[in-house]
Parts: sequence; C-alpha cells; structure tokens
Amino acid sequence: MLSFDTMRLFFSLLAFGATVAIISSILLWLAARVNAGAAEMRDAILESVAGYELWLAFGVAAVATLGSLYLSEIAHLIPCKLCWFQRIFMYPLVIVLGVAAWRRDASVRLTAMLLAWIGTAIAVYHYAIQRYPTLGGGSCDASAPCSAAYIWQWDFVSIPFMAASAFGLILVLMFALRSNVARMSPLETAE
Amino acid sequence: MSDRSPTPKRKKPARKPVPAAATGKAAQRVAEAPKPKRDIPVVGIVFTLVALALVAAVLLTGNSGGGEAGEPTVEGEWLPFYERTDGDSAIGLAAPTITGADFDGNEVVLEPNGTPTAVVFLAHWCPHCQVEVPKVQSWLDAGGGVDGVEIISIATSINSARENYPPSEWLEREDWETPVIRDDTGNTLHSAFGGGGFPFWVFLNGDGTVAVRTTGELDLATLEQVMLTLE
Repeated sequence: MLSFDTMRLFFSLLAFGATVAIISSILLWLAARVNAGAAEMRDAILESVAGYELWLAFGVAAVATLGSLYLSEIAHLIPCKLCWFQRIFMYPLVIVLGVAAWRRDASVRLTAMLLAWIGTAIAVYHYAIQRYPTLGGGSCDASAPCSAAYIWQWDFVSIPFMAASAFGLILVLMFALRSNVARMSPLETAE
Repeated sequence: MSDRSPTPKRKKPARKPVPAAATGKAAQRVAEAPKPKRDIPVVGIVFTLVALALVAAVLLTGNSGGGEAGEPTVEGEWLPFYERTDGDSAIGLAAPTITGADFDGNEVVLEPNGTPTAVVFLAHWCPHCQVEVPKVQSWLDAGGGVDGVEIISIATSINSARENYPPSEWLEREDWETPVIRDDTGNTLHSAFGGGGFPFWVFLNGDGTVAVRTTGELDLATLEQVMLTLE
C-alpha cells in the first residue's frame, strides 16, 4: 500500500499539472485571438483532443472522486462542510460525464459546466478561508474545521486547490468540446 | 558512443516515397485539412504525465516518520465538554492531573502544586495555534507573563498527515520555551479537559481547580488579565 505521503505528493503533482494546463489553455486562448501562430497551435491542440474531451473530463472527475474518497476513507481525514459541498458537485460529474462520453452526447456540456462552475466557486472560497483563516472565525473546531488545511503541499496546494484544479480542467475540456463541435461539424451545431 | 550502426535508422526517408494520402480515408482527411497538421498526442501525453507523477511521488517519498504522539497518563475526573455558549460548568471543578513527556522524553507533570497554571492545548495544523504560539512567546521574551503563574502547553491532535508536522519542529522554530506535554493519538488529554477546539486555554488555580476555559486566540491583554485573577 502506498503511504499517505506518496499519495499526497501524487495528488499534489496532478493538481499542479492540471493548474498548469488550465493556465496554459487560458493564455493560449487569449494569444490565439491576436496571433496566428498561437491560433494554429490552439487548433492543433483542439484537434488532438477531439473526440476525447468527454472521456478526459470523465477521467478528471473520476480521479478527483477517488482521490477525495481516498483522503476520507483510507487516510481518515474528516471532510469539513465545504469539502462536502465540493463533493456534491464533483461526484455526479463522474456519472454525467461517463454516460455522455459513452453515448457521445455533447449536449451534456451545460449540465457539466454548471456543476463545475459552482464547484469551482466553492473550492475557491474554501481555499481563501484556508489562506486567510480569519475570514472564517477565531478558533478551530476540533472535528473538521474548514479553515485548517490537512494538506499544504509546497505551501500552496491544499485539498480545495486540488478540487478547484479538477473543476477548472473539466471546464477547459468543456470549452474545448464546444469549440470542436462548432468547428468540426458545423452542420450539427445547434447552438 | 563507440558502436555506431552502419545501417541508417532514419525512418523519414523511408516513409517519404510512400504517399500517405494514397488510401481512401487518409486521402480524405488530408484533403480536408488545408495544411499538414502536427499531431499532438494529448491523450498519450496526459497518461504519460500522470504515470510520471505517480512514479515521482513514489520515488520522492520514503517512509513517512512515525507519530510524535506520547503516552501520557491521566488521573482524576474528566472535565465536562467545553460549550462556548453556556456558562462553563467546569469552573471550580478539580482538573485531572497529567503525567506525560515532552519531545525529548523528559517527564512533565501537571498537578496541583500551589502554583496557578495556564494550560494551552495546541494543534500543530491549526492556523490559530500557529498565530498564538509566536505571539505568546514574544510576549514572554519581552518580559511578559505573570509572576507566580506557570504556563504549560499540550501538543495535541498530532497527525503526521496534517500540515506543519511535526509539532516538535514547529515549536522549536518558534523558540517556544514553555514546557510541552505530548498528547496521545486518541487526544486523551484534550478530551480529559473537555476541549472542543484549538487553541484551548484552561486556567487553573493553585489548588488545581478550573478558573476559566476558553477556545480561540487570546489577545495578550486578556491573557494577562485572566492570569492575574488566578489564586
């Protein structure tokens, strides 16, 4: 069995990678509006994920779900209230995106994005509370305080950070799905 | 490299003469695309990166250190759970006595010995405790504290899975000079004093009875004021 330290580093690396991917995507998207080379690169990347967007997003949701279950059920970290709210928006994404990927149903985008946007908002708020505990009150609950970070890898990766990165990456993939649907089959686009 | 292969291994020249667009499907795809596109195997890259992350995580983390929790013993009646809202029913009750050890293994005892005592329960991962410790220490360094009142700290809720572990390094980093008793893995000491949060302050009179209990950060003026009221 892999130790908690190993899993913590693994999840942190994944979250870091996801964050890099999100930020690069946003930068590339911005650059592509003004630079032809960047636009070409954007299109090349979009093309390369075409057909896999939903599977990739499903994978992100599944890893996030299994990761959170590992933290609570195997590492015995008690989820705080805000953790639960993030779980509520992450767990359905596994089923929603999995079914959509299986049925090649791009219309899932709206459902998935709503779940992911709300999840992102909660995760960002949770992260802010961890960074500035005074936002949440003056003492720490013994059981499961939201302001106390169980994980604080490299001084910035905490559990809600991981959640935000997963939600964010799902959003990026949903944006990619929209672009690809619009680009590749203009006849079927009903948006 | 000494063994140079005489056979040219380059693949591209071999491929070139074969027109990739000769077969039906490929021809169609090429025809659709205005220019030859570089294929970026994003899915493959993702799987590779995830695998690399797992390998790196395994390689970079050896065996995690054992817990720093101690094996203190508690004697006497436990105090009722501390409720923030109601009047504290523990006031006037005799606190349990504790025999434990600090991080160096030296025995530290908390028992009625005539000296009023401020007991502070600290969790290494609790951000408020992390604020409280240097605040109190700098107060003590500046000649603060109340004559005849002792401060004893309990390192509780020790968990190697949580941040700012181990507590010994944290308290050493903060030059924390107050005696420390290590709580056990079940946080028996914290429970025995009815603790509901961190930091958790319990002020004891010289006869070992509870004068005040409070959770949360204490400002120094309040701390001094309460310590002055102890008998």
